[in-house]
Amino acid sequence: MKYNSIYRNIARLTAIALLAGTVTACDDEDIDNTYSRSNSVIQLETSSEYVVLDETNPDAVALTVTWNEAHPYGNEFITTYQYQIDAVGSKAAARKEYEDDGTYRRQYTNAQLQELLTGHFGCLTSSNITLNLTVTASFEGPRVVIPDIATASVVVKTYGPKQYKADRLFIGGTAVGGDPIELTPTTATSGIYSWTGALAAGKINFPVIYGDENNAISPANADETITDSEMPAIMADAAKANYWIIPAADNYRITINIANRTVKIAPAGSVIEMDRLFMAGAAAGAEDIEITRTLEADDMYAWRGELKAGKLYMPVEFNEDKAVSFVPKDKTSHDIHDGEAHEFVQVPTASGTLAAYWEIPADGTYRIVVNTTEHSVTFYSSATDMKNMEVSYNNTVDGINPYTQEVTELWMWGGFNSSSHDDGLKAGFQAKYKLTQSLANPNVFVYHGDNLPRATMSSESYNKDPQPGGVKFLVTNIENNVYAYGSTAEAKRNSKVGYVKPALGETSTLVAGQGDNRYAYFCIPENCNYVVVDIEKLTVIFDNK
Amino acid sequence: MSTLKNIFRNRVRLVLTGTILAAALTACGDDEIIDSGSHNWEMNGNKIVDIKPERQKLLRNPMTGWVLYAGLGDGLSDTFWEDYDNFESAVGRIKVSDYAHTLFIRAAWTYFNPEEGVYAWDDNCNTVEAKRFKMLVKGAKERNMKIAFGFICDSQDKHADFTPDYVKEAGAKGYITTTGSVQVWSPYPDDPVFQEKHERFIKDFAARWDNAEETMFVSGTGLGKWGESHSARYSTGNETPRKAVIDWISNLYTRYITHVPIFVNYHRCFLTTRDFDYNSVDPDTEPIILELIDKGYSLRHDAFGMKTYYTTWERNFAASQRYKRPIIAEGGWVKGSHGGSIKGDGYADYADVRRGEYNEAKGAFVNMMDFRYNSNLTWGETWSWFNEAYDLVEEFIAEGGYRLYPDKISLPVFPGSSDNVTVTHRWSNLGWGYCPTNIPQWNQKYKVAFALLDKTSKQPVKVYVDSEPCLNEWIKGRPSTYETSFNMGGVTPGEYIWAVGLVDTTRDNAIGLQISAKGDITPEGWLQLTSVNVK
Repeated sequence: MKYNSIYRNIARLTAIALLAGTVTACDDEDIDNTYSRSNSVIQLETSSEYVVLDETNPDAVALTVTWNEAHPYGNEFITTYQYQIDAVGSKAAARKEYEDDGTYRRQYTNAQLQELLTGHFGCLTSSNITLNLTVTASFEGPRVVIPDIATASVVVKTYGPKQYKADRLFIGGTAVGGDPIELTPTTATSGIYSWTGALAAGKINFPVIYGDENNAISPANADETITDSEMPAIMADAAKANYWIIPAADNYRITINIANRTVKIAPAGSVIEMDRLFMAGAAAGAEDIEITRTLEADDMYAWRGELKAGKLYMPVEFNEDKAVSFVPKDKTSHDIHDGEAHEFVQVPTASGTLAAYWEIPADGTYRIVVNTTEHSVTFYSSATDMKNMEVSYNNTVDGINPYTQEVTELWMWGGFNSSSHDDGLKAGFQAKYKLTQSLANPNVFVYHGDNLPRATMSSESYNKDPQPGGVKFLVTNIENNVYAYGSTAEAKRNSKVGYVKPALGETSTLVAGQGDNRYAYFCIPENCNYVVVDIEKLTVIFDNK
Repeated sequence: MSTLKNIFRNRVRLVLTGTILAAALTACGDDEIIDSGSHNWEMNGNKIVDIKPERQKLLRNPMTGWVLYAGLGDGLSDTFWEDYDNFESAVGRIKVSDYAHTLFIRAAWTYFNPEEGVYAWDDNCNTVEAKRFKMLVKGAKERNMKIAFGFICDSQDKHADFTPDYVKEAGAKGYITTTGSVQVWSPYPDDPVFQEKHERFIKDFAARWDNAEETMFVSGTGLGKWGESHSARYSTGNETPRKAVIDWISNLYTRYITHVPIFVNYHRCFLTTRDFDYNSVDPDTEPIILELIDKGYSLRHDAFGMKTYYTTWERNFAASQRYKRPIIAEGGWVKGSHGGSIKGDGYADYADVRRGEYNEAKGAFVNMMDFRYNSNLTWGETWSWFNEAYDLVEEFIAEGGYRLYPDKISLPVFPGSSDNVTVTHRWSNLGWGYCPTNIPQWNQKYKVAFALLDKTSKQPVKVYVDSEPCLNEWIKGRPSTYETSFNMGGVTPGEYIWAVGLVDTTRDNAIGLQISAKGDITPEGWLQLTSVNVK
């Protein structure tokens, strides 16, 4: 393929502009542009414009790049060739090579090009990648001569696992009957496709068109029976793809999540589609009260506050409409089952809540916890409500020993934040690193925010080997020697500081007290923006969410 | 065309013999540049030899390349060399000394000099820090590395006294600061007892280490916070003694350290009492640093990549001194302690920080960059360079500092033993830095030389030193061409090999710098060019 003359001219103009800018800073030097232009002679050619790499033939030549010698300027000039290859969209640095040996040629086998693209440039397997190739001849000598630059582009299709991507996505199989039904994503960037409609008993999968590939989102095994939960799904060649089995004709709700690589196929009535959750009825008062999603679990909603005696149901807001509400599954019972989880169902708000609802027995403080996965709700009256944990320790600030305190707050403390502190607080204490007590369980504390810092610093002067991201959890911010939740690392006051290094998502054990556990830290893993501490179960999870 | 005159240094040469040097060493000016773009390459009896550049190899030339850092305090690993000989990198386990050939030991004066007249390098000095020093030096020598030194006197921000106790006990006045829960003492730099004791230390240090065979450079004044001339405190409580202190410390270093480069931090508040303020430039700083440069100091800055600390003033100052003095870059960001604050400078992650430091260093045309130490070998700056920016590590070796080679040489191949001959030779620098032969400690000691090698032993039989080329003038993109005439000097007729090298004229014209060329290079560093038959 001949070099792209448009690219080449742009490159040359850029070089002229750069040189002009450089040289204007010098005295009154002349640049012989006309001469240089007339001697731009490099032709960059590739063996093909589109290369499909062949995994079965790794040593075969896939691409050859050649160029010719630059204009010979004679003994007074040094000519230097630099060959550059970069992949469009890659963050990796371009590969640059000087060519000093007069070999105006590069050759790549299938395996070499695959490794260059998927290894160095981090490109995707089974994808089309545009490679930009550039040869620059620079001339150093007694006269300024602009470089001769030639460029070319090649599209290369890598091999390897298929990408979990779709340009177009369909429902197909005997359960659909007739032609496949094309789906559109819920938003342009969501990667989530939803559909509700009638399916016959039969087979189903989800054909995909991606680039030049015909694939299908399908189960790993042939004829898998659908379940009520999200099912793992693979991307397979459409001709070889498996199917799920739809057991009976019904209205089904289908959700395909490209990012999570899951498919959910469930009877339409069992699917909860919810943006926000509220309480309504006489018990809630004139205004609906929102039950907020907990920080620790996406499928859990919780609230605690005052309710009046009377009727209560839970409208579900979706697409700015509260057409559906949660009511007791046993529509004839209005009992709140104080302290016990029990099932709810969805009903049309306008008609279904007339007869089905909960009856709050008396004015008072209630905690309500809703689990949308288990379709359960738990009401806690004052009599059954969970209590804050009480701890006892030596309060050296107020001089009280033993000092008893309910744990309603938890502070991250350690070298992780370089002992930074807010105005008016002791060293190491920052409000942004205070964990939030869960409404669903007062023994659970959650941090969800920016990635946590991982400074390498020790607050203990005898610690000569501080580790990055050291942290423990304190029940108050009055001082750092209070009741603490540390790690299981071996530690001893004035002697040894220990660290446990959990991975993201790993559950670690806490050690509670005011003893040597205060010198046993966790190392916050990299990219951690989510921490859940359970002081009853004595566990902590550092994660990214 | 005056710029062309400077860019393409085309010279007419005098006849030289192999031993005429001293007078010519001072001839590196622009007076001889002539306005000509053509040279006599194709001479009767001459052969043109084309030479290809070597662009990647670590050449271990002085004052170029990566600098590996070490301290002497308790944070230093007992297995320092084993750790760095088996270091994790993006390309697998590597030996860091294959990438860096300078070991910079920067530590408290106390550690180097625990008692008056007793030094870490003394055989009978057995403090734990002295043992570490000896371990470091021994390991560096085993790895063909040279040592660089930095002595910190100020204890601000430190967990121990960085000036030896004997100084305080002798009556030096100073001040207390608190680091965490520790109180530390620092001397006032204008205190006469401190100055007397420190002078003895520098003098004794120089007596042992002021030699280019072992020592790469000595850094800084050692005064002020971190030894980087920040936030100084004087006995007067103001800056009245500042200039006198600077005169004293700079005279001290330049008086005793005369054979290896010495470095001073350039920043906008040099040895002022104020903390760094990026909105304010101390008006006295620039003339003071220029005065130090005139005395022979080269330049370093320890916050490359920190956009608050290394900014317009620093960039402009570095640009004003380009090719006058070499610059050493130390990155500013510290992975362990700055954490998420890198985002304040617009960095996405530490790979981005490394790129920022690198680009700033490249913009300052620096000669050397840093691999700083962290006791956590899988976390700190060195780990970061090798794992998050490996391509830049290699790129700096290839393109940073200086890398000198001749691409074309025209030589006589049938000269008479007493003939006057002419050699035309052209040199390039592939690095963005420069070879600092213009610093007073080097004083143009490195020179181009042509040699007749014995065909069997490959040892020089006759060396013709060309005193004219000044290597500090070889700048990237500006090849320098010379026509050199000399007499063959009555060499015994016979078959020889022409070779070219960069010799150290203070060491009997032994090879001083490695040429960056592909070709047949002797173990000593002579690049063999062609056979020659002397009649």
